Amino acid sequence: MLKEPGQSGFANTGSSRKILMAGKSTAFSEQALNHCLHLAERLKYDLVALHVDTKLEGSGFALRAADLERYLSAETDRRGVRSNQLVRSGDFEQAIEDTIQEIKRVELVVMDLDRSDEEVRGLTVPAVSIINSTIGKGGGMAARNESSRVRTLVRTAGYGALSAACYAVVFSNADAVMRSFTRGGWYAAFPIATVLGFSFVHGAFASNLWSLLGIEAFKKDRLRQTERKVIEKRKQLRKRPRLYAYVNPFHKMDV
Amino acid sequence: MHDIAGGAANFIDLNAVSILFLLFIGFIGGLVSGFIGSGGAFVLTPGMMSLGIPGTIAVASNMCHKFPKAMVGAYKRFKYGQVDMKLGLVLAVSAGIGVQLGIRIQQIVLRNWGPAGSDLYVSISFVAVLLVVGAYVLKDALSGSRKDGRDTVSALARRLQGINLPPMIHFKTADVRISLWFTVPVGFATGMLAATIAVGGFIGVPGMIYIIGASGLVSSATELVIAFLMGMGGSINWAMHGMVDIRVVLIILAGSLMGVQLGAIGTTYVKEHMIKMVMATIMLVVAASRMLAIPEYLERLGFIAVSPKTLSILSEVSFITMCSALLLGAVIILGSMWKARRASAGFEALAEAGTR
Repeated sequence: MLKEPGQSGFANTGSSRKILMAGKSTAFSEQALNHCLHLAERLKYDLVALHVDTKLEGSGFALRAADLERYLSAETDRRGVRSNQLVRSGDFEQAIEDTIQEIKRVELVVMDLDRSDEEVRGLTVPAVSIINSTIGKGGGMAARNESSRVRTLVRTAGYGALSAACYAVVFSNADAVMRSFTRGGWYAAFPIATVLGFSFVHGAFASNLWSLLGIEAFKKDRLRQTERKVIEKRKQLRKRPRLYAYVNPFHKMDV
Repeated sequence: MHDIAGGAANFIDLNAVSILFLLFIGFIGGLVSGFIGSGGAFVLTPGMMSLGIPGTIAVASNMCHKFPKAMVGAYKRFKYGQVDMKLGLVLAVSAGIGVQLGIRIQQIVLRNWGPAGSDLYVSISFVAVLLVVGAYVLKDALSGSRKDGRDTVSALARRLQGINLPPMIHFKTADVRISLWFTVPVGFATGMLAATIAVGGFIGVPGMIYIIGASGLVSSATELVIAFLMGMGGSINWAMHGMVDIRVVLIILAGSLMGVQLGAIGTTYVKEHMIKMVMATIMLVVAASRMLAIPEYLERLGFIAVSPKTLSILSEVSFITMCSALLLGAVIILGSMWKARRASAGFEALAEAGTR
């Protein structure tokens, strides 16, 4: 359920430092979301997601925002970041300023904006804007995804046909292949070269097929690991013992 | 070089059932290998033999399918930044020496105690190594699951890393600086086990984790490099004797290249302790399976008397248990992938929705 200010656990306590992530949509761009999540995790701040209904859509906007709340909570829970989600309507800048005054201790505002959006300058706390660069570039992300999908489909079909042809050649001439491939000695190059060639063609087909089926590596893995390493290193640096030398300037003086 | 297999006459005819069986077992074996860096091979050899393929041809064909599969898996995981190439190459050298010694020991056992003695030696090695290492890995995986799945460097690895015994090597991806001399026993034992039970990774991966101090993710990925190099050397040797059944190899490859990529993708979703969990589960179930095979060899050597019917039941149960180890591993991998994908789908949906 969506929590309004006043109902939430921490939003109105003013006890912990917060990052306010504000957007005009019911969700946020990947860049803004990644930035805020990692920043909150590193700095051990709370994260407040603010959706501003600037077009005054009403309950539909609130419901869509509520749908996405559980996704955000799952991600912040996993990272050990406390979070809350708020919905306001009206002017974007005014809604942010009201929220800052209400929930207290907002250290940074991250605004998720499109290129067409006007800049927000009058806030009382430091603010950064993350411009969604995918808009206006060749029809946006959906179009790019579609063309990449077509490319994967073509590659899958191509490598699949090539792989099937290779298998057909070997198995239609199985007797001759077996006779020459099992002669031993230098003929050993045949089976070794064949498996290497097949692993290239069939491997490429398999890779494209999994991509086509939507099964791809979780791309944030490396980012997450780098983040963890940074956190670990900082912890180590904090704990590192330091040497302090005290030199008595009078140690040679005879008193 | 003479033709030991005696031409194509010794190679079996393939029917639809055997092709489907090889495809399936190849896929599952590939999935497990892509995920934990090894495994799968131990089921393939007896699996092929159950189709009527002679033992030596089964071993040769298994090895010949293993190295391109490991190559594809290693490439995939290299792209995810999980492979420590230098560590893989260093270990592969000592593993090569280990393989030679393992083969010599096998030959001595075979000469003195015959095939039953050799089988008994292999089974006892299986049970001893897998029980001890498997139990330790399981204990560590369970404690890892209580620490939010994050890997911690073992006390032994930390102590060894602290000993400055030249030449010291820095392994960048594994983020480890350790003396070359401490990597040698790990590679050597990997090679010896590979020559004895055909799955060196069951000692190579735990060795890299607990002795060298690499993470489970990096160790399992690096093991694929070792498997590729050792498998390629072995395959060339077998092919020079004309023992590779290319038809069987290509059928298994069709399934395993799909599986190995899925397994490699799976490692980017799951928490790090899951690799140890899958490995430990497979190792312990395989150990149980080999334990059931020991009475047959003891009977053949005349140490105990067991009825042929009991032996046949034990042999069948042993084979089924071995297959179930692989299936169990595959189920855990796919299950944990599914769970992790569902959790990450929320994050991606949130990110995607922002672009609407």
